[in-house]
Amino acid sequence: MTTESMPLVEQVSRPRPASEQLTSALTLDGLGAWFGTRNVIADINLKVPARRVTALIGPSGSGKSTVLRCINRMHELVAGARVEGRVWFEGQDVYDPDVDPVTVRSEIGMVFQRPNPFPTKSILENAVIGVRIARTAAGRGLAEIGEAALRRAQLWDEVKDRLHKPATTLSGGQQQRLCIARAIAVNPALLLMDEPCSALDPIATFKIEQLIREIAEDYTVLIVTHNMQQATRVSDFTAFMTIEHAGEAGHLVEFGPTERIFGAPTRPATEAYVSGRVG
Amino acid sequence: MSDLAVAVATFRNRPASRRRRTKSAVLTALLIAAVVVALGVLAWVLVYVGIQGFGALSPAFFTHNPPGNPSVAGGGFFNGIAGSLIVVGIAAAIGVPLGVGAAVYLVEYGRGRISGTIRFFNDVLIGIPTIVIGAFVYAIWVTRFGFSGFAGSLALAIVILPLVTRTTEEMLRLVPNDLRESSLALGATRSQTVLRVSLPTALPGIITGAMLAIARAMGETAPLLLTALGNDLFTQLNPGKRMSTLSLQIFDNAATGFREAQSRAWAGALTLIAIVLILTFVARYFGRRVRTAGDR
Amino acid sequence: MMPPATAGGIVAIDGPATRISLTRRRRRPGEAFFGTGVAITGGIVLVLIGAMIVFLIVQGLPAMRHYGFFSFLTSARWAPSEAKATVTTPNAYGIVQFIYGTALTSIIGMLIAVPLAVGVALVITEIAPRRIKRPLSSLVDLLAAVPSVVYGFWGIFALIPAIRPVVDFLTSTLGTVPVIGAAFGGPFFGVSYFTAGLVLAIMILPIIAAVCREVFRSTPRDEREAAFAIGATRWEMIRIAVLPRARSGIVGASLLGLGRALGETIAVTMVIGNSVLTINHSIFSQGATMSSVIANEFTEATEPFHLEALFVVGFWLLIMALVVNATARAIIRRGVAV
Repeated sequence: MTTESMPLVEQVSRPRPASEQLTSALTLDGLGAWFGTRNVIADINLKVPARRVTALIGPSGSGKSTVLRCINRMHELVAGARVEGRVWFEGQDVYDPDVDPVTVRSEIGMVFQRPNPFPTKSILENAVIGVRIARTAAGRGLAEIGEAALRRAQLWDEVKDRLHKPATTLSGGQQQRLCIARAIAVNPALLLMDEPCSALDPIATFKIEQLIREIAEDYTVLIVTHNMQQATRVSDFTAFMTIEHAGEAGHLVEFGPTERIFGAPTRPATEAYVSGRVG
Repeated sequence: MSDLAVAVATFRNRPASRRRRTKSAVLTALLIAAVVVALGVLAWVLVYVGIQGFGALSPAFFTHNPPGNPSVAGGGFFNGIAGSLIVVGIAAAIGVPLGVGAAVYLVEYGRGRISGTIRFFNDVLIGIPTIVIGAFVYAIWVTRFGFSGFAGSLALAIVILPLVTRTTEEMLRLVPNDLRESSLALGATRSQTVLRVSLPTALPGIITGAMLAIARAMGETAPLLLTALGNDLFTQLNPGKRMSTLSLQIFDNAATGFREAQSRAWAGALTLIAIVLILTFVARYFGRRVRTAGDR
Repeated sequence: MMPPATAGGIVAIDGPATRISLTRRRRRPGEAFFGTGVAITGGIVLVLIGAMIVFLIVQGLPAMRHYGFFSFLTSARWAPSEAKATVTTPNAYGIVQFIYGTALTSIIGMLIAVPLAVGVALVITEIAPRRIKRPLSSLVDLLAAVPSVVYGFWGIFALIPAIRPVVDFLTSTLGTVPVIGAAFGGPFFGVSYFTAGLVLAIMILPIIAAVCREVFRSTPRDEREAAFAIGATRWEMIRIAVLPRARSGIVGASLLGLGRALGETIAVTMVIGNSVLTINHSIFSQGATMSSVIANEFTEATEPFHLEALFVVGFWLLIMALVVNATARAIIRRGVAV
């Protein structure tokens, strides 16, 4: 379905002043990942600019989700999984032996493909659960943090009268915004989003894309998406990953400002993908 | 699939002949007869116990102990009922948490061979004769500390534990994995994820499983013969001493030659069946309500 | 080590000095404690089974030492009153008749229960309309909820009078036939191997049926539909598509039922008659099983080595149950996870 034909959808990206200096919030240095003996991604080198939205696009199977999961040390939770290379975040290598993976995960937020609020908890409890786990606030402070996060996620008006109802009473799009609120309530420096709209209807998708542009002012967002139009609407920068043949490891082909990647890609593989000829 | 090939060759161009249809009907009738027999026996048992027991029931049955002389009518099984509640209660307090813990290990922490071994032997433990469990508890506890209600609780805890582990494991596996991942991605540790996400989500099913295990334990007699021993005449609420349970009292009174004692035993049997069935129904109803309240 | 300067085609300056230390570990002693605690509860099962074997041997050891380990298995004569502390042969505590009793009652139980259970399971999975499948299953499962002592009690007062006419008929006919007649001879006192086998059949039917239900349910729908599509009748479909795959599952289910039958104590004790002296040949005569003799004599085991001999019985019962249950579980696991 082409989004250009839908009146509701706007070009939501806002141009940034050219003079603003870019800093990198996250640097991937020779990142590679395995499931047992299967090499999923290899030699990924990428600097993700701070307080911008960076999209990670590519055909399915190219390892985009794996890249995300290597950043917040989720990949290693699977039996037999292995990571090589370095991930520089907050000036430290996330895989340094002195680094505590639990702390890493509490500083990096993640939103998953299917909305997954905790079913036994209320809307408010879901929003603040990250804060309770980290024990950085309690009591009334929690309620305030919860409200702030829900407002930021543009969900507050819709739920303020039923904060104590179970989270499962929300619609899919609302649940996903709740998951975003949950992730940002702990004030992470980096927000990872793994195809957050792929399970949602177009209107919910639109709301979330708007939300992403909004919060990018305060958070660095790295979003994996299958949907190229979404990448153009939402992101400032785009990284393109692919695999040539089945069974190979995914690798990074090109990275740059979104307009350039889609308008004038420098690599043939990129050009083939974004023009729809491949993938 | 050679049966299928043969069948194809046989059936290909023949409509179902009279003979085949009759044969199928007869065999189907036989199968249904099997169900009739099974349900018929169930009805027979329940109705028979119901009739025998109902006649002997009275409010006094639940509040009085048996008379000292078994040939005297009246009285009840108060000491046995109280004893059952205490012995099974303590057994549940021991067996259910341990069983849940083992299931948590198998689902959330276990790796490979060792958890496969534990799971296998857990199922084997379920099948071990309860009299053997009683003999074991006798060997390790009663020989040192004497017969007691607590020894009975230990034996019943060993009956409850593997049952709870099995059902809890099933329930924990039903918890969608992306809930765990969300929790971990927020910076929760494994234990926090288990305590805040996995267990609460699986809780209704866990409770169902625990209730079914407790219903099982209430009906046990054999292991108690060797541990709690029974205390027919007096109310004994101290689990450190010999105690009676409802099941033991039924057993003891059924075997006497006295009609009066036997009729107390029937009332006891009806009470015991009622308790077990109520627990079973509530547990299953509870579990079903949870499953149909599809949350996601 | 400092991060590399450029990557991916954009020059970007690395961010300001760190604001958060990723190595800051909150003190989390609870984590290791929890993990270890949970692992310990997981291991309890293994410890229990091992301990059972050990302690039953320990308790029975005096008798085993006195009479010799295998002498229990070579004699069918259990006569505690003849045991003397100074006499080591013959073994006053031969247990073969209990093994016989356990085996006989279990076999009778299985001969009746397995076909019935398979039939019930087939009805539930193949014949019953959708609406009554679950209530039907629940009802059959209720058979398992009835406590053993209640079955025993009912067995004495309801079942025995009901089967008496039939058994009397059998003893007077089959029982008089030469050669096999000894196995069916009277007199019938109500309590007997056969009665115990009947009660066992009722008790093990639900578990066999439950496993068979799972096994039959796992027949792929395509195979069922393929059978109907070529014009098979319902029974033929069952025979072609459902049963062949289910063979090992049915065997596993039956073994599970056997395991349950081996261990059943109270109901059996109440209806078998507890004649412990030796093997009685007719299935309608009284007898004893390994579990019934333990239950019956435990609290009055006052003779020399009597209690220890009962532990020897318990030990062998445990071994039998372990072997049967482990085999059953291994077979079932290979097929369906139940």
